[in-house]
Amino acid sequence: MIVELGHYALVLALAVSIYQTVVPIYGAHVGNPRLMELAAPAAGVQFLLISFSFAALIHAYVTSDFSVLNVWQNSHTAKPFIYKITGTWANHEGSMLLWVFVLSLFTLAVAAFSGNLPQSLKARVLGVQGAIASAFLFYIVAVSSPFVRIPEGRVPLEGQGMNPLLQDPALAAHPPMLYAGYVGFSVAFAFAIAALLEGKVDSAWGRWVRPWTLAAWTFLTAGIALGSFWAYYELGWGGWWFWDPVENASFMPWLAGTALLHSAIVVEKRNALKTWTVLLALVAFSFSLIGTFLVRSGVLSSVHAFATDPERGTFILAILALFIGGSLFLYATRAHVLKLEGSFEPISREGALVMNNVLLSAATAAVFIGTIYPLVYEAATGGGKITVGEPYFNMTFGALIFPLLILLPIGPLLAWKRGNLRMVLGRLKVAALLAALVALAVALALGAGVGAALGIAVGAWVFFGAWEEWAGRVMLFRAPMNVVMKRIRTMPGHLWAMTLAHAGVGLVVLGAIISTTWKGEVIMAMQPGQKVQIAGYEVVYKGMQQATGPNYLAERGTFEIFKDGRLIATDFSEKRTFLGRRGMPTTEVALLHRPLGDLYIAIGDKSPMGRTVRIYFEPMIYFLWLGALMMVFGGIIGLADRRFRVGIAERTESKVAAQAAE
Amino acid sequence: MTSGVEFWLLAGGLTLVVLLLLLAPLLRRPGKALARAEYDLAIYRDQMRELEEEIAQGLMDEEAAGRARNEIAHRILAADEARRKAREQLEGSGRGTVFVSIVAALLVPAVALAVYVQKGQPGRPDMPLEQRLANAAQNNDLAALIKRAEMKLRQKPDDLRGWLAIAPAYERLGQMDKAVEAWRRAISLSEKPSAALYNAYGEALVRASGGKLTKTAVRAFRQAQKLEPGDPMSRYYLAMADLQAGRKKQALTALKRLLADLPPDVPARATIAKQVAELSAQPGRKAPDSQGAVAAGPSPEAVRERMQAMRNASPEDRMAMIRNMVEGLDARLRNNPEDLAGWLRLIRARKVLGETDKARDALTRARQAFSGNADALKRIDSLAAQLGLSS
Repeated sequence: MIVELGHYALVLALAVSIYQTVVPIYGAHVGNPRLMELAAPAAGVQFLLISFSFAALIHAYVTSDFSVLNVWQNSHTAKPFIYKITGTWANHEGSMLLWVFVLSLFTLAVAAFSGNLPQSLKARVLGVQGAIASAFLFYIVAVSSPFVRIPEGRVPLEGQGMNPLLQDPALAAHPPMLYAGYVGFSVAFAFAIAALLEGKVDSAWGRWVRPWTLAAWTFLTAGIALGSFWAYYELGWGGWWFWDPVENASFMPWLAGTALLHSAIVVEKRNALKTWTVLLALVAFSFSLIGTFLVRSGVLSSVHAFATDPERGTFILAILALFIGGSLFLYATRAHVLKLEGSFEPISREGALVMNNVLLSAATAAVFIGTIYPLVYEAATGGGKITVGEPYFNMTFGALIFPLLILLPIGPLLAWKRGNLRMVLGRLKVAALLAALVALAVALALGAGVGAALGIAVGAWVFFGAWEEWAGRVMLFRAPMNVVMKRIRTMPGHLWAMTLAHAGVGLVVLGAIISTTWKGEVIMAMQPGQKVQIAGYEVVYKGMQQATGPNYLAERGTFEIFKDGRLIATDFSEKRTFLGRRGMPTTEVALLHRPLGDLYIAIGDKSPMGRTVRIYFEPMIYFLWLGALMMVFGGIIGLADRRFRVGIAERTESKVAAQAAE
Repeated sequence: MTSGVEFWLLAGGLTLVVLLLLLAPLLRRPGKALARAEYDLAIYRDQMRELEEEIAQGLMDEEAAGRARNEIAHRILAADEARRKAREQLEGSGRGTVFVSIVAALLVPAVALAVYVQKGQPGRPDMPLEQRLANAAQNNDLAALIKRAEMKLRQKPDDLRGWLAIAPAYERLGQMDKAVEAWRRAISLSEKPSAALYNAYGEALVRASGGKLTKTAVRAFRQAQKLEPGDPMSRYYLAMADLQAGRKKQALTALKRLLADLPPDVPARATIAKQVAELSAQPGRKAPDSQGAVAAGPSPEAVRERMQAMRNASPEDRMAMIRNMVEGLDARLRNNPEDLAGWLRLIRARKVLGETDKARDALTRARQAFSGNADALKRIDSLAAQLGLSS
């Protein structure tokens, strides 16, 4: 009965979400504070109902209840326990439920942490969140329900299994992270809509929006990094970013969100760029919606996916039209009521942030065009296929991101309103020198081309620039050590966040350039006992064996890795064939982490000459993950910053507490 | 229907809790509403404090600090002004609140119910696999019984008894490919596979290929012959193989010889005799289609003939016939003791014939055969109790 109760709870949540939309927004419209007060409990109820519903579905998965169609289609009894749980969201219907679950969690968080929000704004924000929830819940209940049952008497005894590629720890955590990012931008979206309805965007609004944007951005960064990491070690091609539409779908909201993160600062500090920031908030969430639906509807692989499931397709189009079209229409008609304030010179912190926004927006547009063009082409030519590949993205995206990276260390050092570029450059002497030295060193020692040397110089410039700015703040080498230590300890979270995130970007750039420029690659058919040299290592192929896992059979290739004639590791690469689902076997890579990079071995198919083996050396690839980790860590520290949590009710208390502490 | 009632009680309770939570704020006294400007002021004061901290830390030069201070002070002044104006407007709103909110809240269960009865299956119980497997015997859920045996076999793939038990079950469900595999495993696990086992394997192969005697099937029956020369079942199938291969003469000879060797009371005789008659009567006709060959064992035709014979026979003859059948069953169960239904039939028949000692003997053998199977033992015991055989 849990399944049916879960279904009922979901339907009840739909009804509550409509209530949550209508009552508070109406209350805010007529200025009735008691109606506005009803928003927060509705958000709480919504969360409880969706949690229960989601838990009921997970329960059905864990207990292998094949009377639920969705469970039968995507689970298998022989699956390890953890993948029974994650299997819940490794399919369209379940992932949509995860989406609304995360949405309800964010809505609850807004309701709980909005002590410092004016009541009408809070009511409208929660109302807009409710509207998003009701659209999604309606979609789920109507055409994408995970609670559809198989008729009694025809219930099968075994499920069809889960896509083996998705049976992986990184990919178990990837969707929840990614969705937390996508859905997090709904809060910024709701704030933007509420501001348009209220006709008021000011410095305070900027401050309220910032933590939510930062939270969404942090989750999204983590989600994308996990996805990239997964692609690296699971797909067996040694790459970590393919400009694949699915990847782009998550990258576009990230770019727009990064722009929003920066422009919201200008709104808060300088009360400027207000209409632009509102637009960015709408755009960031619109890209999140597009990302969610494009990936899940399968339309990316072909527009025909739409035709095979017209009901869902129409629904999805309607939701996209409602939220993207509706919000942009509201923006077009209401944006003029937002008062403009705050003037600034081109060379100033604001100016730098505007450049940041322009370049990021253009980069987003470039990615969008590259992603959507094949679809448009297919639709326009009646089925013609083209792919937009790496060269396009490298050229357009690269050209736009290059100046942004050069500006990146400069921006934070410019003063608000009117800055002095020469003074700022003076304060980045060390970073410039280090970047030049590093680039020169790699060019001379390793014979890098001009492009690679330039790329490395830019990466080093961003990385060292971020730290030089930090060193200036804590007065490193300019003040006695105890003063420096005190400054490090008392440095506010948002400044740490900036330094870590910017340095992280530098590391990612370095990792990307180095790992692609000096990537070692050997692809050959190997006989047992055969040796191959790569990047100073000697890899010996020992042969194949059979192996069994909990729910798969594997062919396992054993490799011995020698360095300077000494055995340093024995590692395995497998091809796994999973029970339940037929299809391509998955590849399990032998990955050896070394100080200079990863040795990456993947077995391929049999060939007349032996076994195809792909061996890569990926220099410094861990800079990518380290950089992403720094960005995420920065985001977390920024969120912990006390200034995002001030509430007017708590203020008197904290003052008393502070006095008591003294 | 109880599960339906239970479901609606739970769903109703959930709905009630939801309604209470939604309307809870109405039960409280209204909190003091603050104007937007109050919130803005709080933010600006915080900004000012942070600015002072940054200046104190020396993060800003004097000029920038002064500019920023001015700007925030300007915002504070404006917000203060707005606050004064707003105070007057805030009074006296909130009419009809209770009515509006209760109507809106009551629409929630109405919408939910209307949608759920369309989309859901109220009260339909869950069906977790484990529970289904546990109740398989009670519910006569053959598929689940097989699944349970399969799961045991996955853990203990060299359990001969398991394979022997599951193979006939697959056959009953018509999953011949799996039956073939099960017999094959049983053969490879047996220390000394019997002719009967090879016959069962061969028959399953024949049924799996739609009546065709494949090379593998022929090999199985030959093996049975080798183990037990003169075994009638494999002889019959090998004759059928000849027939399918177009060697009609050989087939006919083999069948005739088989008929001669079979004791007069074997029920299958009639079928074979008929086949022999057909083959010798129409020498020009092609071999009968393979379907005919499959119907070995008690074909429906044979059963019908037997019933007919029994009805026509005198009471004495009928008794003899029955005794004969029972002895046949007894012999079959000695070779193939995995057939629970067979054992139950044998015990009952012995008792009905008044052969209580033999019935007890069959009972003991049946218990031995199913010593590891609690469900089967339960059924055997309950039959024994029913027949008054339990000592």
